[in-house]
Amino acid sequence: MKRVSTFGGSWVLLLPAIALLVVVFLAPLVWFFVQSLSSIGTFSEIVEQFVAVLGSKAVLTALSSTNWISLLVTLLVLLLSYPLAYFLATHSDWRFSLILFCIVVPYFTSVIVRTYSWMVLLGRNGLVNNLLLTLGVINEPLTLLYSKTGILIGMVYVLLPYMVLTLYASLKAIDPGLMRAARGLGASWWFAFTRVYFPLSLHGVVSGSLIVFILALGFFITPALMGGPSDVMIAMLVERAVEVTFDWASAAIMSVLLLGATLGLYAIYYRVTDLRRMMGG
Amino acid sequence: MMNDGVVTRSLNVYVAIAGVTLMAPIVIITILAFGSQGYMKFPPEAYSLRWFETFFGDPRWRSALWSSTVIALIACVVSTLLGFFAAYAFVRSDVRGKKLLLSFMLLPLIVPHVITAIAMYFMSGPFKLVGNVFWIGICHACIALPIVLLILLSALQNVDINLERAALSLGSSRFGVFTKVVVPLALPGIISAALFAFLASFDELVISLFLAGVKSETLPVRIWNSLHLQVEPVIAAVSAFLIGVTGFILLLDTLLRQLRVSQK
Amino acid sequence: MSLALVQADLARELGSISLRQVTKRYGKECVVDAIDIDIAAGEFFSLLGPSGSGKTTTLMMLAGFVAADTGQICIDERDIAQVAPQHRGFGMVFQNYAIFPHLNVFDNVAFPLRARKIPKPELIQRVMQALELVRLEGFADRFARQLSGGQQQRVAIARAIVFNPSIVLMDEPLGALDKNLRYQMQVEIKDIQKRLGMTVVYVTHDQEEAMNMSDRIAIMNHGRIEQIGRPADIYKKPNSTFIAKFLGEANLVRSKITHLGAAVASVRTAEGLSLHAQCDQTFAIDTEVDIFMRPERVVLSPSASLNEVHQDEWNRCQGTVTNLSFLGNILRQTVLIEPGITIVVDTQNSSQAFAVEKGDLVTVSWRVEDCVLLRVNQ
Repeated sequence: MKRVSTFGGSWVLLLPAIALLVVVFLAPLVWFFVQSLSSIGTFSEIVEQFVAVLGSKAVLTALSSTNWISLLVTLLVLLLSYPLAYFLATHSDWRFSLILFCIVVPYFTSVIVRTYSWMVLLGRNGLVNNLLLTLGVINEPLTLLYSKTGILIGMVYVLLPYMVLTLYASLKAIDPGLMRAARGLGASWWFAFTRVYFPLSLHGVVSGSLIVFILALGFFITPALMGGPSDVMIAMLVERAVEVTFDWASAAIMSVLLLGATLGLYAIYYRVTDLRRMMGG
Repeated sequence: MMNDGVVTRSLNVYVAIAGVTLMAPIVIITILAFGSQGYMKFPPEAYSLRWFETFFGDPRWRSALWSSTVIALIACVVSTLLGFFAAYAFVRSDVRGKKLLLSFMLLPLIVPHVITAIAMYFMSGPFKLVGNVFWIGICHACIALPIVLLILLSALQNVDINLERAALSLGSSRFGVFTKVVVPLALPGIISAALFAFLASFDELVISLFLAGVKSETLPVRIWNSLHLQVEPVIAAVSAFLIGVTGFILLLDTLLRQLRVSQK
Repeated sequence: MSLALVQADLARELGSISLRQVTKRYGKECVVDAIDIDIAAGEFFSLLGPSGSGKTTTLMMLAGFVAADTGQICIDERDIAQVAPQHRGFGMVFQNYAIFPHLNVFDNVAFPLRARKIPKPELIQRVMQALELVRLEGFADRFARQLSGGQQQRVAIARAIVFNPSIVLMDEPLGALDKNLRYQMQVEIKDIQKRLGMTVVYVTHDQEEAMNMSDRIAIMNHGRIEQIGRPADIYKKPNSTFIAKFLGEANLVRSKITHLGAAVASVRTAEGLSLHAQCDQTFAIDTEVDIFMRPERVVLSPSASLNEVHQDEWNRCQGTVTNLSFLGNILRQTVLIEPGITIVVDTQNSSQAFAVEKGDLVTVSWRVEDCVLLRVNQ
């Protein structure tokens, strides 16, 4: 007869958290999908609805928009973040703290506040336009807000910290001696970077890009506030289906797609990264 | 080709510009909040606190502040408590399938907020929980839980298991080990987790948007609703307030980190 | 304040331990394999072995942090398998000290007394007594980070004994200390144990440490107990070549048994050299064995002095010196007897009667009673 081992028995402490998630998070999700989809009718009717909704012009446009915008945002974020992450990884003094500060403060600021700030800055009478007009770069105010540009700027701003912090963790692990060794062997900086450093950082690049892309897919606050009438992302359609048209079935169908894509991408991310490290092995 | 000097200089220039661009929107909004005009002109011609007065004077904004605070407190307490126990179990027990379980508990971070929000809304309707501040707090706790978990997993891994064994061998009860050894040593981490859980809830918009009725509007929801009508300067004041809360919490956390370091 | 007070309020039990067929498996691996140990009350007992031998797991099972798969663990004849660690009442000292970093020295040592709700005046007295015992009286309000490794370990010891346990478990407590400090601490720990009369179960991989401090040692390897006995006994008469080599420098001369007597056997080496050795285990004629003896038991003499001592009591062979090592207090000489057989001779620096150089022809001799036959290690 074995007594429960001293620390092994502490698994019971997981139960309250699991209970909370199952009741408040998981159950509503399951309930929502099951109820909304089954209210359509029989299985074949459901499939028909799927085809109808997903094949509709509005949804197809939104899907295409979402994909392109998310891809573009991910690419932009990657290009803009890499040098920042590199800087963080190669400095450890006051400069490190300062730049980290500049990244962390926006990261923890509410999305709505960040988006609102850009709305103020990008308006026709906003700061950016005023600055460009005074500098003589342009003659007329640009339409930065309520356009694809606005969405891009807004989303890049919100998602940049995720990429920088993920990349930083990965870049920090690269031995600085390697670049020095490559340079010492006669390579130019660019050669050493492309052949030695970048390949080693690829893991972080992929992880970060996946995170950013996954998050971008589900965005609705920023596109709703900063996009034009024709810029619709899928999450916005879902929101409208619920709040405006009360079309729960369509909302469910679009959510299935969105969730499916998200979970699929996360499964890839899961393979790529190491959750084990977070639990202490 | 590029030499070291060029690379370093270009990098420094880029990082400087990037740093300024990252902070600019937040700083500018905060400054604008102190402007006295009714429109957004930067830099403001005159300064005053009138928009803050409007903010704290308006009953609807005050009610939103109250709702936000209560909800965030509930979310903070529930998620920190449950998250602490779960993190301890992850670090100490020999449960099988930890990786899978952890992924499950991180799901709220992965599932798009919109979907979580509408699902919660869908189920809250029949139970008449829409607008219930306590319920919204619980829903926020689900979103805050992954954050608490990640912070506390790290904090608890730094508590040497031999310290717990020593305490047990010296005659302390299991509960005593928690209160006299584990919690005191993990305290900075616990407070950090609580602060960020609070912040996550305080800043949360999407779930609140669906679940808050008119009575329990939170600050972010009120901002969202106001934005669709017009861009008022009072929103800048509210934003500055939210930025202030964020800054304050980040400051506290940094101080806690110093404490953690000095403890070692 | 005197130790008499400490010894006087010993209202404790005897402290004898027995493990019966205790086994622990992790998956398919058998980490502790059906071990039997009996430890008398007040004994200093060491579990000695290389890493992975199962000694720490055994200690953890004794402490109650790991549950045994099968077998019985008894204290004073009572089975304690169902008793939780916090109720077993053992003192415990860990390798990494496990001093509570958020409490000062006083509060660390007072911890078990507070857990037992000892009233304050008595508590203060007992803590100060314990600190005196480990010579840390002035350190009561220091914190772990202000203490050296040796001081932290002494706090750990004080904490483990302040509540008068009858049994103290120690898991390689001196492993992280440097050599000189380790020796000093060994003496102090042994001293405390003798004064307080506790049973100590001590886990270590350092054979010198185990032999220095223990009343008896259990040698563990791959989860099994290879031999239990007093240090001097195991050192002189190990059961196997593994134990022989583990406890110190060992000479192993490969040979075949030619004749079996009552306590002595005759063997012949590959080149035909005839030797005699003690023989405790059962062997058959013609079995391949190793003659084992310690280098300090072998005497080196110039090759001429062959006829001086009684033949029956001594083994004698000739060989060439192949290596000389100066180890401080010992001169270690390696002598090649025949192809593949070398004998190591350790001579105290002061006692070498004649000078030896590499290449010299010498005679090595040792008493028959100083060597044992061991089974050949597969």
